[in-house]
Amino acid sequence: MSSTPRLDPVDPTARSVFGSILGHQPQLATAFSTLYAEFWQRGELDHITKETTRLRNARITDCGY
Amino acid sequence: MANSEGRNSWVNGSWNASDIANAQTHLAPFIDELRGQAISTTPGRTASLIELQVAQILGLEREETELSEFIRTWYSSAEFTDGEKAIMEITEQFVLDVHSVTDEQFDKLRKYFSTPEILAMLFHIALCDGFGKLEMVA
Repeated sequence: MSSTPRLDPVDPTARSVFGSILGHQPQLATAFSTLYAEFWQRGELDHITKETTRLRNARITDCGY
Repeated sequence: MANSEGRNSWVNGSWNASDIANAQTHLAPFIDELRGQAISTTPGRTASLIELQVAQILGLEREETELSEFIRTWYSSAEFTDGEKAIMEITEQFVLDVHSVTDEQFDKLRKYFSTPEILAMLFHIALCDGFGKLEMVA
């Protein structure tokens, strides 16, 4: 598996979520971004724990982030 | 993740939004919104096919329907279109070993669906897979 997306981004020059492949479904992108922001900004877990699990997940799935 | 009573809220049944609400109140409406958007943007009946197929692969308890019987033998079943079979092939691979999804499988998908449709279906697969596995372990 590669971390190179198989789907083309909406705008290859954009750095925002809405220029990425998620931009093909703006309402889905909005719902995802809102949930993601809530997850990071609030909740029971501290940021170190959240970031550690995010990084571990990214390594396992060969995600580029 | 424990609820306010100090017990795991997913142990005694399948996952749903109210279970999440008990454990993580602030995330529940946003998860509902995301899942709803994913379902409403997938083409035709693919959302149901994906959801049932993921549940079968993971061994999750779900109500038996005629469709779930067909899904058990999806590869040879005349019930499904070639496009539906293309997404079911990817779904199976995604759940069992996401690293082994191939370019050929993906190209097959492109023959039948637009990029926005593919994105919506993949998103739905990811959500069903993630929450299904959460249901298994929590």
